[in-house]
Amino acid sequence: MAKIYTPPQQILERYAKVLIHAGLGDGHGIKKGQTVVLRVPEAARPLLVEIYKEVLRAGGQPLMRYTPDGLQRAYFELASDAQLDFFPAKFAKGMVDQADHYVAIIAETNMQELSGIDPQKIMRSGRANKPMSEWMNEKENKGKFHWTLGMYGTPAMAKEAGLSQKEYWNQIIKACYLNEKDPVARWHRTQKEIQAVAAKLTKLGIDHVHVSAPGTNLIVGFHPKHKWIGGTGRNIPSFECFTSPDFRRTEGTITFTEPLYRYGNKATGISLTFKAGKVVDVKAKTGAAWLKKMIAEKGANMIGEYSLTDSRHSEITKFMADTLFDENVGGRYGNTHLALGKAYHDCYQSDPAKVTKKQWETMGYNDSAVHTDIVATSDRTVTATLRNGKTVVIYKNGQFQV
Amino acid sequence: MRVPERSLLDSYAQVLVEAGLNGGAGMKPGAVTILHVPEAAQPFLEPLHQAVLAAGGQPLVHYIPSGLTRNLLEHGSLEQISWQPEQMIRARISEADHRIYIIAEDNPTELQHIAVEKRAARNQILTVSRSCIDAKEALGAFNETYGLYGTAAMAREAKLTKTEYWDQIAKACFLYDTNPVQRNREAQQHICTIRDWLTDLQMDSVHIEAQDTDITIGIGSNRKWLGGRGTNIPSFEVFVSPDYRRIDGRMRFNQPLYYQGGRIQDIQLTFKDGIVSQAEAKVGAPMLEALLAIPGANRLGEFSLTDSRISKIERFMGTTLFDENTGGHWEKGVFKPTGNTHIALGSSFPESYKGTEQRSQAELDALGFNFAKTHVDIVSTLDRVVTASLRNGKTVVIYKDGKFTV
Repeated sequence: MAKIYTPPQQILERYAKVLIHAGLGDGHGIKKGQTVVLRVPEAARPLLVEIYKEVLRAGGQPLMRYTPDGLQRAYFELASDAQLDFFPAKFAKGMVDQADHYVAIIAETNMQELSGIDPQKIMRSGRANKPMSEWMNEKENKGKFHWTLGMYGTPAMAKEAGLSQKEYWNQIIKACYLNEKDPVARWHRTQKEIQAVAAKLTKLGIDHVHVSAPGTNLIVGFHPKHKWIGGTGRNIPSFECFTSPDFRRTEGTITFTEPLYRYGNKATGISLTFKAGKVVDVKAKTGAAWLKKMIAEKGANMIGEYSLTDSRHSEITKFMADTLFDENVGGRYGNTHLALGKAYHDCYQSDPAKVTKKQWETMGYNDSAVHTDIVATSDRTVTATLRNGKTVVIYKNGQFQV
Repeated sequence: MRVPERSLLDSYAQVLVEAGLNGGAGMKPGAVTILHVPEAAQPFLEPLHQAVLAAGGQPLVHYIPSGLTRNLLEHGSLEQISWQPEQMIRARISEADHRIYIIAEDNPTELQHIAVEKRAARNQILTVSRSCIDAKEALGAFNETYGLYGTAAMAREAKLTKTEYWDQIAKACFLYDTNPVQRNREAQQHICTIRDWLTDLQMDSVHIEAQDTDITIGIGSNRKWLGGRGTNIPSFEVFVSPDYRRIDGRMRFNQPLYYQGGRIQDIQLTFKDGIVSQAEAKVGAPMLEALLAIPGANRLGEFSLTDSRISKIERFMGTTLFDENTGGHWEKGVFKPTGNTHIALGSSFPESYKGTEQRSQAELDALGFNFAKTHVDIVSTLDRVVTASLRNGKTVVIYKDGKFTV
């Protein structure tokens, strides 16, 4: 195995600072005495130590959820249906009740760990665990819970992306501004810029967008009270502007350029065709079989998110083999992506805490245990048709036009 | 060869799940089992996880990263150090039917440089989880077992190689046996026989005679001896919670005590009317003094004896789980099967009360049960004779030459 590259401590300290002070609390950071759950896998141990110390320095209470690597495969091999369906409801509720903030770090030690495992087993376990994300969501809608997501580069991830470990980390460092003296301030500036774009998109009053690109001719419709979001700190890095569409109004075809990693599987050359909101045709060069199984999950045949990233905002230029980075990739033409499955309740102009489950459905906000982002970096033009009947090109040549 | 081998860990994991939980009867399918595993025991996690799954249980992994407590004590305020995530602790215990708790340290002395008040603040926080567990245990809705994962640092501290250290673990837990689960249950049965014999004797007190030791410990007829319950793997001792008001005399302990990241050696305690009236130690006397200053820690909570014929532990291991179950000690290259006796300063075992009716803490206190917030075992392997005075006025030698006389 390749020797594991560990970035300099200063870099990790800065990443920890960014996560705690620009990632959490809608980008405003944590308050003294607040509890921060740290869900960090073993492989990211060096970053864990720095995050732990940063929470202490900020006067918070770090609460560890340290996750061992390498247990998953045996779990899915050994677990019976009853074991797969088990959800530690009391424990999960206790954790959500206890937490004011939640930091999760992605670090994979074996990209093939789950290869050959029936994705239905993985999704079955995902369904069982759905209440956990619902509770988090509920608390988040009330403004009492914030989360952010970061990444720790490993040899396995770098290899999958075809990069050396150092090149891989250089992408993380660049994307998160970790070479800058005050990366937190730099993040706050970027977040403001992206927030301004999102606010303009919301203000336009878009009824639907038409996405035109090679192999893509797609219409995505929105509820009148939909809201564009970006620069909230929920992912570090994050450069995208996104919203949750009306799941019944997607029509046409979109062709994705980036490989998709999900449920221990990989798919490439994906193309999806929608009719009246639902996926009616799935094409993929590889991985079509498991992808179809995923789409057969409840709500996974409809979309919950539509997103655009401006190449001027994003510092990510390479394929990273992980959604957190790939859905924010910049490069020449930025990216567009959509997510099959669950919508975001904060993509709504009024108080989401006051909306019932039934009302979300009526407005077209999709509900599912699945949320899978699929990305295209091809050159695209996005034309919005506004509710007043006018049409506006909102995005072309990898840049927003608003 | 990797020490320990995977197959040995698989056996140990199976023993913990099937001979440790539920009083030795083993975990039932569907039971939720917390796996409390420190990072120093990382190779043990997968075998434990799989053993629980294979038995049809639901593992709830509580994996503890190394070194963060040190960071907390170095960088945290007293408020941060003494904070406890109460909702989460309660939720975890209320979710679970069992806990398998693995002891392992990769740096046994890492907290030595930390100020005593900070360490004390940290120690207090364990009380929430302890009281949750005690309450659920008392209802019969929860039980746990403790096991050991030997690290290079622990072996070094015990002056053994890692191979020798693990050889002791394997022998003590019958892991070389063709059916370790069955063999552990047999040992538990044997211990239960002795335990019940001791309870049935209806003792008023015991008198212990050994080198520098001449002490009387009041028991009382409302007491039940305990042992063979699977709550520790390994466990060979038979023990009782005495009447803490009736301890008189002196006792010498020839085994070192590891306490709060430090070592205390050659301890001698003198009791008068149940209270420690004099305490000496050749090494670590200030730590002993600090221990005795904790409310209730100057009184007894446990008296225990181990039969050298049952115990498979021959080496000093530097951890209470093993040392309080040791079968003797080495003298000039020869193993002396003296068994051991130990006492615990601090809290009693309420389950040592013989009656079946529920008793409140105040009622138990009135019966001489100690409710201190600490429990520290101190061990002696000095050859001893233990004579019991029975309620009917007779005296019986219950233990000599490292063996019960049953």
